[in-house]
Amino acid sequence: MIRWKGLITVVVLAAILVILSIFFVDRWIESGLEKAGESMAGAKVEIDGFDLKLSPLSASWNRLQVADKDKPMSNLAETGRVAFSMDPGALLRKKTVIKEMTISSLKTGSPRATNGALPPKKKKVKKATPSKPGALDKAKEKMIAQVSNLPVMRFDPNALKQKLNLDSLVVFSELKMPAHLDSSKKEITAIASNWETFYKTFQPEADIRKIKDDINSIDPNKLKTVPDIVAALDKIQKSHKTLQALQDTVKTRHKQIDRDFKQISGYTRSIDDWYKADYQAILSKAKLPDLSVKNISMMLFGKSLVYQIQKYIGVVQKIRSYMPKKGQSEKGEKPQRMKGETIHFASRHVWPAFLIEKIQLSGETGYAEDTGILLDGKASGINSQPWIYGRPTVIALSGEKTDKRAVTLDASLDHVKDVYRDQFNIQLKQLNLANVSLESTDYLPSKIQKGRADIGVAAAFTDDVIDGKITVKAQGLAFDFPSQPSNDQFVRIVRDIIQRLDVITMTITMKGEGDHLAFGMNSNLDDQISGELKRRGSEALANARRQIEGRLDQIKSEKMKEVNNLYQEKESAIRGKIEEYEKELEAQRMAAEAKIEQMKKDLEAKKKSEENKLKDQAKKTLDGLLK
Amino acid sequence: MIFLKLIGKFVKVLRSAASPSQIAWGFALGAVLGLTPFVSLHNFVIIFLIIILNVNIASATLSLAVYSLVAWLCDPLFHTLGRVVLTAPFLNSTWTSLYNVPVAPLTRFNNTVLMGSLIVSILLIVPNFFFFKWFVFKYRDSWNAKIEKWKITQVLKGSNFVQLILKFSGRGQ
Repeated sequence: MIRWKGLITVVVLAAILVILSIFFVDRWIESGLEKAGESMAGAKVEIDGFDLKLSPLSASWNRLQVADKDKPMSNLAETGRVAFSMDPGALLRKKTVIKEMTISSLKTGSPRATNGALPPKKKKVKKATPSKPGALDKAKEKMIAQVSNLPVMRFDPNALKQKLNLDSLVVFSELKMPAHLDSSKKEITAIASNWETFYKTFQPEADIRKIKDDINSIDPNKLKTVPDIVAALDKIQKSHKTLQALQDTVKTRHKQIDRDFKQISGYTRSIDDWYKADYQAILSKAKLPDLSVKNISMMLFGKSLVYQIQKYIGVVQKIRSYMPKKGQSEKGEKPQRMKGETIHFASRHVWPAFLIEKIQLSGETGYAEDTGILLDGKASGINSQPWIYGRPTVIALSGEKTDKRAVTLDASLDHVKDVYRDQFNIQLKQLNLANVSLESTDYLPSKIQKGRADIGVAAAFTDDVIDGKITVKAQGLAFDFPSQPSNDQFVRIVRDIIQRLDVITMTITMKGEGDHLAFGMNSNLDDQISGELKRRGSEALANARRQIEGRLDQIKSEKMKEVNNLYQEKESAIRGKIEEYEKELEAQRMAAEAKIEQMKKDLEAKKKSEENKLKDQAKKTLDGLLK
Repeated sequence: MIFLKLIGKFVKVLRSAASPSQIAWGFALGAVLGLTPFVSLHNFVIIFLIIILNVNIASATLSLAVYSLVAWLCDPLFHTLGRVVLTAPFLNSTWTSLYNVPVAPLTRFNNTVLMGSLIVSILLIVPNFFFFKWFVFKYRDSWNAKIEKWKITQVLKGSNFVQLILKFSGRGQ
């Protein structure tokens, strides 16, 4: 039943494999890792002295060099001895769990002895599928757009001294004040026209005349009998009633006239607001610079800094991309033909597919003659499935040098829950700025000759929302400006101030998400330059402003005169007529009331006289009867 | 060419001195290799068995080739079957336990295509064995003589091209 030849062949092959493994497995794995690394880095990856031990399961190498594909003669990263131990139990469960990894002498940008470029390959032309830009891509675009759209600051006080073409400015500014005053004139005319129409229909002259005639026609002295007096009194009282009715109408209309003209006079109270609006409109058309602007530092350093920040955002983006979001891998897995779908079950071990529990790291910044700062730190919880591991990835790195230079990096990448929270805190102390080249602009020096800077970066990401702040304090600065002086006065002012400043502080803020990212920058340069511009330009600017104010005052005075004249003309005409009526009616009322009073007295006297007469007659009659 | 070579190999196996049981076991075990994804841990065991047990290696190779084609065609069926089995609630505790046992995750048992095809191939081992055993008997007893008399066989045998293939496959005159 057993094929002995076969069994022996298998045993022999297994023995050969074991022997070969003992001698060559290190080289095979080393070669495999190099090839895998090269396919990822796009440049040469070299591992020296790889050693795999089965008991305890661990691996190490003496040196790793990852060439920079953009600069093949230098390394993107280089390590000294790296050693790590793996959990064999996890490996048998298809999980790679590295208990502890030690990375020593980590360097970046170190020079290479050989060219690190890979031989050119014929690449298959693939149809480019446009990938959806992430939040950080949008943030980068937004920053670049914001800085690119900044105006180029020019300052020329001589231009301000030139006479402004106020006539065309007034035409193009579409002033509000004259328009409003013209409309006030129209309003006055319209109201006056309404009252003129009223006067055409309201003509009490005939009634007044009739009443006057009636009153005058009655002479109380000529009225001898009581019935005559009563008839005349009745007539005059009727006229008095008519007079009162007319007086009420005139009083009501007078009040309306008062109200209407008061309302029109109220329009001109807004004249100061119209004046201010027109002043601002002319200023904006005249394009006089606002010398209190706070974005000077953004204009000066924006382009230089934004590309640096963009680089760091790229690094953060790369780090975050290695930390997948919950559900990302499961959702992305689509069953392909002959590939199937992998169903995951609850694991009794909190092992993600890949985990480095702890890394002890040491290295240094810089290389060659300047060895830089010696770094020391640790990282924990680097894994491919944070929602299984349940703890955030934490990186803490620090280093310092005797010349007070220091660096600290604290990062926490929490992708455990659906909403991920990443925090980065970087502090660089006494960073040497000597020979740092700056973006080539008219305003800035080509490089910093000497100086030191403290830089702090604090950034928090909640999903795609960024809240970041970078603070820079540079001191002991000396700059290397181009020897050729600039003709632009603004550039000269900026150069003077930068040369005089010993300390430059800057605060850069980024807040928001994607298209709504706000990128702001403040510096002590803002106040310094703004102050200097104000000092140098204030006289010329004030003169230009005075011209504008003078012209506006002239317009205001002319228009106000027109409005006031029309107002007074119309008001006196309308008011005069109604007051005339009032006066006449009052006079007639007084006359009527005087006559009524007199007639009432006469009537009383007549009544008494008649009464006495009757009494005397009755007495005489009674005396005659009694005799 | 490959198809003719396969037929030649098949005929050679049928006419070989190997016993029908050895040939049938070769076919049955080769079917497991062919139906399931080749690079799997269980297939190392199957290959090991094919080598150390006295089964016909040629029939196993032929079966691997034929059933690989069948597997490609039946892939959606295997995926569905595997998914049903792996997501069945009453089996969940079993799979969870297995998932946590060392080495088991390396077998990729939790892959739908692997699980579906493994179930089908295990179920087919015994029927395959008996079917191929019967087939070999039948061929040797009666079909061989009849096929030899077919005109197409005569024509093919007379063809230089076929002779060349037969020569390469070790049956040429």
